Amino acid sequence: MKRVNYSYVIVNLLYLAVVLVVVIPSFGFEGQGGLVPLVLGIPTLAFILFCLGRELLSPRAAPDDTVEVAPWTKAAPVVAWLGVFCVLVLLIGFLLTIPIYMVLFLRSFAKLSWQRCVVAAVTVWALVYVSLELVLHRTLFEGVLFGAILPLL
Amino acid sequence: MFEGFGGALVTISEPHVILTLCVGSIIGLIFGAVPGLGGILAMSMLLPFTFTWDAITAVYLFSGIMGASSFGGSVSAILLNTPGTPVNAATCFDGYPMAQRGEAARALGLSAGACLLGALFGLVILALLIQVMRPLVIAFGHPEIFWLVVFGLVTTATVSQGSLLNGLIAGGVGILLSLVGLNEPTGLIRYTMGSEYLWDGIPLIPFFVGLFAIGELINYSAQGGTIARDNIQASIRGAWQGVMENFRYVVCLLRSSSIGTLVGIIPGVGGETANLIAYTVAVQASKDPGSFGTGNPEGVIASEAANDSKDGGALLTTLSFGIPGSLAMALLLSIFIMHGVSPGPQLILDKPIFIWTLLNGYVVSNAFASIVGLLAARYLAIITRVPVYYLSAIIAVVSLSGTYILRENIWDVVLVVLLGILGFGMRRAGVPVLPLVIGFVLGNLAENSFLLTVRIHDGSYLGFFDSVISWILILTMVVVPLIARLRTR
Repeated sequence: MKRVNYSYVIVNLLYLAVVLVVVIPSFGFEGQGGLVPLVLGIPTLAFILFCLGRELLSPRAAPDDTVEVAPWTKAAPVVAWLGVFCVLVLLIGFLLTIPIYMVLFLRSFAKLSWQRCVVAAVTVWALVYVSLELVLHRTLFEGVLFGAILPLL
Repeated sequence: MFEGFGGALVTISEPHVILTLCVGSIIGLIFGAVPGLGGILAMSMLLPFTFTWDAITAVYLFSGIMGASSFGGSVSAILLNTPGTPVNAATCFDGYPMAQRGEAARALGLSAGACLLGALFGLVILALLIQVMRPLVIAFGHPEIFWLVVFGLVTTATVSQGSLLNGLIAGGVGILLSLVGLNEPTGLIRYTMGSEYLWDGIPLIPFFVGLFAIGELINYSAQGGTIARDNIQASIRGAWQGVMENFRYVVCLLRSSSIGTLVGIIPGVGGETANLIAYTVAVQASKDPGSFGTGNPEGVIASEAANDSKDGGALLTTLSFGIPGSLAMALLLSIFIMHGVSPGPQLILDKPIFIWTLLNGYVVSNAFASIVGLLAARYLAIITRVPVYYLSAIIAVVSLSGTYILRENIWDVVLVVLLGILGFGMRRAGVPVLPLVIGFVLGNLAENSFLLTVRIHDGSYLGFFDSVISWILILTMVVVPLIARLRTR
């Protein structure tokens, strides 16, 4: 069945944003600073517009390869859990986030028993703590709630 | 001819190197055996953990993973009819029927022998050709390197999933992304949109970890059912017979290894293609083609020998010119870059020890993986029954914390997750990831060689067309997509 592949459109819109971010300021660079970005960016821009136009105006049948890829509806909870991990790390740091995330994820998403969740969480926490803090002597981010300062964005 | 070989042999005899190789091989076996994971995921996940290591030890770890993951993939292909990695797909055709009729150990032995001998074949060809490549590498100036980068991108885009146009767009965007940040030749800070985070450009390792490890993690976690559930029947009795049987089918072994090596040299054409071509040729060359698909030992040999020999070919272009032809090779290049080793012509000229280190590590890890893989085949297959959520949670935690320690910048973690979503979206959209990655890795090389060519020729663009090598590359670049298009029709 021929219908618009919205994943394809979104990916190409992202590409379009990247190309515009590069091409527009390149016109203002002095010397050769904008030469390669323009030489490359303009044809890429044309290709993206062509592909977007083709997909929106006369959509093709979805490629077979996407059959092996999960739909967005199923991927969304996984992405949300990754988002939760990021937020927790920013707030309370890695060493607290790892066991909390493991227990919450395995218990609520994977429906595993509490014992299994705790065993898995402790094992992974120990693995990360030993390998990074004790062996590599790196300090993991401690979280803004515990005084860690966010680097400039 | 073999300078650096002695040094590499000395390093491989050191206990910590042997341990690293063994650990790499075991990780490669496990990740290879579990469908949906694979060696690429293991490499991208562990990449940040090696940044404090010396370059040679890191290369041994990753050559261990690369060498072992292919055999790991054949274990689940033979025992469970589920290829651990896409490059083992053709092994299922005859490996699983053999297992079904009680010859699993023989099939595993065939695979182990073919993996090792195929890898050896590819590496011997690489060791011989790399010597021949030296004068060719010296003949490559800035314009030729620029064309080579473009050639690598066009070929990769041609053979990647989806249309040529999608591949070219991804390659172009990859290059443009690599230009973000401080441009040393001009001193300009470009395309950062006022962000200080982007002054040093988009970091390479988070780029890899996000697109591969997290992108893949989202996919198989969402699918939930990629891990096999079949019953496993495997004993190692009879495995040795299978190993030795490779010598009975030596013509098939050599033919498939040659196909694998040749296919590996072409940028972008991965093991998936190599093993299917070798399998098809084995069927066509057989006196009994009807027996293929029902448990013919030649089917297993053809697939696995091509699989492992292709790395020798792929390493040739990666090491000689710094043009990675596959995801594994792109990762390998990033390992070199992370450890301050410049990939490309200078590597082959100045640091042959790295090349021999890689080759030695690859040979030893293949031998180690074959032996351990045979002994532990049953347990490897059991790993594939571990609930996918365990793996998903572990990989997320290890990848994200590993990425953080590399630069100790928490925004890298956020970037990894965003790139992971992009990686998943690209898979979902049917847009190839490989050209984006290769464009990103080669972007700065392309820009520098372009600008230097223009400067050397006093602002003239004719410098791009004044050598035979440039013309050969340009013509090949035009012909390859045409041939691919004609073959599709």
